[in-house]
Amino acid sequence: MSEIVLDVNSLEAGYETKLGRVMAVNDVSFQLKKGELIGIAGESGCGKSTLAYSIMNLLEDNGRIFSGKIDFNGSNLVDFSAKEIKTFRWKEMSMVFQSAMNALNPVMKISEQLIDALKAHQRGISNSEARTRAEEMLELVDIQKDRLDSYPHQLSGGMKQRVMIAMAMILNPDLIIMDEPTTALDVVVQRNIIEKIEDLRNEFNFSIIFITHDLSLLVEISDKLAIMYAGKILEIGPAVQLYSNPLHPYTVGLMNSFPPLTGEIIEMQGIEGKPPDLLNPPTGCPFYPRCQKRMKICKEQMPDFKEIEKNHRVRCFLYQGGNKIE
Amino acid sequence: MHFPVKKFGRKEEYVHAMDNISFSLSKGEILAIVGESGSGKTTIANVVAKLHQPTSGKIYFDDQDIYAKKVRKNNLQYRKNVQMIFQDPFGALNPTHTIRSILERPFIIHNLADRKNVEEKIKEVLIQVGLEPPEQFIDKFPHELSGGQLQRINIARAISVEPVLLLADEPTSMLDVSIRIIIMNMIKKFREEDNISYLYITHNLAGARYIADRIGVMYAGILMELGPADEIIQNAFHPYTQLLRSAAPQPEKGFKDSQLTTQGEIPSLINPPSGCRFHPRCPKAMPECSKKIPEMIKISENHQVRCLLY
Repeated sequence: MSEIVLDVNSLEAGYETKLGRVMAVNDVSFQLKKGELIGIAGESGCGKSTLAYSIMNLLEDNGRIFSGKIDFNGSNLVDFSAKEIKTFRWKEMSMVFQSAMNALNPVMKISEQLIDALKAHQRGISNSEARTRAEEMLELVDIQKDRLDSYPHQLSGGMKQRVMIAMAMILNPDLIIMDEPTTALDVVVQRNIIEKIEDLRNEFNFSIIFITHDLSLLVEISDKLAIMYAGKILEIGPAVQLYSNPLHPYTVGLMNSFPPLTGEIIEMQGIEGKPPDLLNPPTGCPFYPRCQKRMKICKEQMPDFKEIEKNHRVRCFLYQGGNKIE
Repeated sequence: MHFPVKKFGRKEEYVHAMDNISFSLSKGEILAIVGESGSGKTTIANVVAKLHQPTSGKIYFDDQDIYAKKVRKNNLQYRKNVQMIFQDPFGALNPTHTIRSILERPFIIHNLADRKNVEEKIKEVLIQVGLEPPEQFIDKFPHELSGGQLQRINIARAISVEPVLLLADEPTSMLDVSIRIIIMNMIKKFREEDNISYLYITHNLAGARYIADRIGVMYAGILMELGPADEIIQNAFHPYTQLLRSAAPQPEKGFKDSQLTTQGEIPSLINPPSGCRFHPRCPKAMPECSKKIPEMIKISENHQVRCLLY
């Protein structure tokens, strides 16, 4: 049985602004096993990137974790000092950022950046050892050794993103967080990258948190899938089950936003409206104003998780004996 | 309407954004041009919008060469008939103008309303794009609205002059997923109600299938395949179309365990590969493929493909 690598418990995080607190992550809990891939699906402003940065402890300026626990391999990351975080970050947990074009330093060769990452987190490694390791990593992501001394602008978008993946893997972490790693790329390049990530995961057995708005992609690659909206996880469970039996009206709406490539072409609905202001999160369920099946109680209270099928849980009064739909 | 257009270049080196593109668009038809970034698909829209003049070839709108003297003299008429909506809903709007001011302009410029009744017309068109009650939006500034709402404003602006042809360049790629379908449904609605034709540029094959009657597949400046939307996808002939098809996410098919058979990336358009531009990546490439660009061949009544395999 796989052991649990990450246990996020009632996490609350966000940003302190002059106008108040933005609750970008509002009571989020989930677990991740060794070698498992959890997909976090959500649209813009749902808090998924803040969640990623919180787990990596990369929130800057006015961003902070307000409460909750992040248990990683037995330690609570929220309690770590800055020094402790530094030694643990990248070695045990790393991140692939959105739009690699922006994440790479444009005035450094990629070899220097890979070696830089190595030396920052692995004391005592020699230059030649570091270089060899960098070459190994690039080979793993199908980049020819002769590109090692290229500058980012000399590489294509897909190649840059693969460099980011190589950099994230270079110290063999147990967990890699990927924040929209393929969004800026073309569909063919995206497919290549996803296949590469799968191969690497099978070989090295690291866990992945894969964050994206592309639900159709997540359904294909995730073991577990979490649907995030306005800072909360509304539904979570095995990807296959969420796809075949979406429970939350928001999940249903999202599934109804991706036209299929095959099968009958029927009119799809999407979801009217827009997400709530996280500066003043509403009481009750944040999806209430846009929900076709809302009830009076939904405006007043936030439902708890209820397990409907094995490991498939949802936060919705439709499944908790709510009364009439409005 | 008929558009045969040929080479297009700029500066001393030429970016071969469009080569030997020929296709026609009927009234009330939605033609989707599908391709990845750098395929030249946006250039097609820009050329039809008269943002660039093609290096060679002709574009006919309503049986008239759009660069003929007669049309040039009455450019305003062309602009009324051919409208465009862009990918970035924020970028297309002047941030210092209210919605009222933005939507007034097309009516006034094209003499479709006077100062007295323009407000009523603005409200009508806001209702048509689902922004109700219109009073709530008319005095707002762009930054006060969401991406989805702004794209509706862009569409409102475009349809307010009752165009014949609407060029849509990736109109939903920057919007949240749940709003994309709504915008696409709206586009279809205007086609049903007002018989507006669309040239719909996108990189999303599933979206193209949902909205379009026909699909044209572009690669590195060349139109590789053209035919009825569903047929192109279910029965793709060109190896590149097949590649696009298999690369797209397909959750309804369950777990995919067949790997893509090609690697490589899109070629530079300054020095494109010789012959068929896809041949370096094509799993079915033959020696002849690098010699010259294949002709468009009719596979069936409406379906054409540019490939030596046929």
